[in-house]
Amino acid sequence: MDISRRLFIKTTAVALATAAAGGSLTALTGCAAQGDSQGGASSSGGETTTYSAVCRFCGCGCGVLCEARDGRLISVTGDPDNQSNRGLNCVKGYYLAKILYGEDRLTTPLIRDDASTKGTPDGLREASWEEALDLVASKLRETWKADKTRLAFWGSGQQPITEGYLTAKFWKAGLLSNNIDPNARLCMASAVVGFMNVFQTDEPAGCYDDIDQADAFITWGANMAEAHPMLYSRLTARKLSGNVRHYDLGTIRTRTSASADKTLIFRPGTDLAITNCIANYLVSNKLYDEQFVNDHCQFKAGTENIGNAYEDDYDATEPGNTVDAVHGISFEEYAERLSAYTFEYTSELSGVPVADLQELAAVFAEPGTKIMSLWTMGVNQHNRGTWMNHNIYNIHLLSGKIAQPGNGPFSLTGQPSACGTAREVGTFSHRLPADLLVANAQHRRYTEAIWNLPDGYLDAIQKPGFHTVKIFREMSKGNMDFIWSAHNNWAQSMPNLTRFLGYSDEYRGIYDTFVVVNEVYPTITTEYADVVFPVAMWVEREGQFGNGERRTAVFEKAVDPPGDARWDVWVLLQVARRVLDGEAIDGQDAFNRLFGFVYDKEADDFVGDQREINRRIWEEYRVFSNPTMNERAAAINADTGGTFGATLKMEAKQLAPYDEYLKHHGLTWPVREVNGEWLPTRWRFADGPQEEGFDQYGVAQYGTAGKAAGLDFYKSTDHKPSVVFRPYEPPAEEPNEEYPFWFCTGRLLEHWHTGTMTRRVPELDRALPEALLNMNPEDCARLGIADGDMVRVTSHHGSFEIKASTAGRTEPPTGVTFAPFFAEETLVNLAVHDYYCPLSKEPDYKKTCVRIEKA
Amino acid sequence: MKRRAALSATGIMACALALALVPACAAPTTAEENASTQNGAVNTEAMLGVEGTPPLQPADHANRAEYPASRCYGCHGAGSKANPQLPDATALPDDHYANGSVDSRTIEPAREQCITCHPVA
Repeated sequence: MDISRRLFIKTTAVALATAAAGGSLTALTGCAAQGDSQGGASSSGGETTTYSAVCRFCGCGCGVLCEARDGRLISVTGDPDNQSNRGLNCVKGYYLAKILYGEDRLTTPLIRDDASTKGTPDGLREASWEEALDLVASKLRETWKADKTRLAFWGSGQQPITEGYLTAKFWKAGLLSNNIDPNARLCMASAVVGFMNVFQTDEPAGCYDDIDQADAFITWGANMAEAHPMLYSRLTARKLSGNVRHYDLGTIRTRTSASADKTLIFRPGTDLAITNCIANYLVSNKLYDEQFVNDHCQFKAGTENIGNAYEDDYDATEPGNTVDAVHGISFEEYAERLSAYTFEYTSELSGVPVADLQELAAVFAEPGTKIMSLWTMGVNQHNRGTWMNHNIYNIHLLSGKIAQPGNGPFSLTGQPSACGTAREVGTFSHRLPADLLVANAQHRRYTEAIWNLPDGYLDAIQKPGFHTVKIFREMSKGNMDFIWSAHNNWAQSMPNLTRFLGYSDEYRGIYDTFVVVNEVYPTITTEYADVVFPVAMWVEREGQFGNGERRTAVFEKAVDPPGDARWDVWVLLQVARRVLDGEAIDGQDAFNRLFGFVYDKEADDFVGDQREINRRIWEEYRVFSNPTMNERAAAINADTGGTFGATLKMEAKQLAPYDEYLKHHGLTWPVREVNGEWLPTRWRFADGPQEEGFDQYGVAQYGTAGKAAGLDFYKSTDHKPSVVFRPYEPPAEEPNEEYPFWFCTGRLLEHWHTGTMTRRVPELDRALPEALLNMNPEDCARLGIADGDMVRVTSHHGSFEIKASTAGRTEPPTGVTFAPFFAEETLVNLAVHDYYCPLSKEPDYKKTCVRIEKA
Repeated sequence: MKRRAALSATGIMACALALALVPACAAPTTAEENASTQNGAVNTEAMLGVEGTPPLQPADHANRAEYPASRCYGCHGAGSKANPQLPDATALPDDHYANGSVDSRTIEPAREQCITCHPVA
């Protein structure tokens, strides 16, 4: 696609020359940003009130303005004051209001009395809140008292920050259980482990503004046009500005390939080799940034030949147990390990022509060229996802193209608050809030200080709990008694559903597990629930999301939830109150100790309105990144007693008071107080004026000025990020005679994840009414499959039926197929394997081997 | 909890709604009607009150779906003397042009990808 300004002028000139006069301008009202953008709610005439909010779909985290009238949401438009999207929106965002008004909204608690009805739309009866809460609390308490390893909470990157924070506090401090994990394990875990291994801090150094300044874009297995549409709009806008290049790397051609100057299609899994090939080119030709490397990089290697999690006990095996091990190596040793990755070898392995590899590598060698790498699920959902994250950082660190405006490796986030909730408040099985780890004693002491717990109280949770795949594998074997999920539809989104949904006699555990689901609509997951809690959706309560560029933004409550649907926080605290009844912490009632700051147990009510409750939760959470607010925490942060031999530098993620986020329509952390104003940071670790978005105060507090590119990676060990050599190792499965095709699944523009909301919007449903299996025409011809034929896709794990298409959204090469996972009637995850990256435990949804037959 | 049954029962309403809301689009096909019943029933009355949603491209634009905005201008573009080029075509609104001016004859770069907001249905 040529989208140059020259072509635009040319095509429009032709059009004008032939145009017929006449016709009238018909406003496309949905396209314009509307309404005012005052901080907080505002009325704009009549009975309409405008609220600032954040889109509840993808990780772009677009700010939106919601207009409500007569208790109903009547419009959603882009928020020009939110700096993530500056008024831009995509079709899902514009239709947000309609997701609230599906006719089958859940409005009453539901209970299943007969577990044999699981897996059907039947068997749930209406119940009172009291009955449902009592039942759930009794089951949870019973399990908790009997065996804590047999309970779990599965949260979400779509859970607002304060809700996720409170849930983590209940689970980790209230129940002393680490069996809590978010669905972000399925999308961002590889990015998280990559960040922590390389930088010792999570989330990108750069921001979305880099898109507006980059000279070259590299998309690595990322279909931004469909999965991150607003950011793709910014990318294509930047391309129109002049001599900007775009290289799209992937295993299939997508709509994102349309804007690329060159699309490099590689054999699945060989992206590891391609990145090493680029690094080898830079190193062997001395085209890397020597000063940058000397000032900022340390070199490491790690455990190799780590195999795959084919068996349930993989994590405890020799390779599984040592996958995190790394050791220092010299630059020369690193160069030696890279040397095998010549252009010729890499081309042979990947199928990418040598000339294309050379062209791509040469871009990184251009000193003045600002490069932005963008990646998401193609890299993260990878049997070596963490390694691939490492390898992208490696080439940006070697070339010095990082943490500066227009220059940056940028991990795109999957969900609206995968960063804010799953990662930042610690809903992972191995984490505590603010990047802290359960396994680290100093981190536990710090958390105890803020949660007002006795020293050593959290030592009971120093061992990480079950990660997501482990939770569901154990459930399928009958080893879980209680699972509670919120803001996700795991019975459609998890891989290997044939096993997890009990389709085989070997794995029927789901029928014996007490399943609790917070939901807004009936889903496949509610069909397996023993209790369904109907909850408020999106702007039916106040919440906050943290997006992929570290921007935290509040969405205000604009309308009431329907019927008896309630706020998740109320549901959580009702269960917590019952479960913790009679429990004590340090002689004080446990519930009051943990939640008394927001909920009056005696009055059985919140201590304030939703705004106040959110503010109070936020202000407690904020102490994690503002240690001076808590004397005990401040001493641990500074390690004043010398107990730990290290400072925590918690200010590196500094957050502002709650009302600042309403005032500014979102702020990117760290947020610094300067002369009474709270100023965001756009480029972490980059010295420069805070007013312009640089990390002036972070570098001043913990770093040293004057190093290469004006950077100081002050959170990294010895202030040097790690360049870790990670080799190519093959995918967990490779095509063979029985299963000759690769199958890849993912998202498309119109539908969000499992489609439970977007498929209830008629326009979005009509735009993309069914999931199709995209196939290469040669493969179809060979198998005698015509467009529209129903085919059966079968893997070693399960099978599903779907309509084949050679004219779908993606264009796979021969031997590769793609279908989205939004359609419950297709349920592609019945066949997708659950083998995960051994480091991050994130499943590889992109490389299941299948056979395809006419149905 | 007869989810799928409930969905089918409201399929016709969903399609009627879609027609009412998207005047610029072609009528949905039978397949589309069926598809819209797969996952949920719509509260027609509530959804009709939602304003400001972008119209979808009609089905006969399927082969043009991935055109950049510059090519869409040929029919949907406007200037102060010609609005739009094809009389029956829906015109691009002012805010889709650089600086909000139709006479710029330049689409706002961030709106280059029409399908981001206007998929084909």
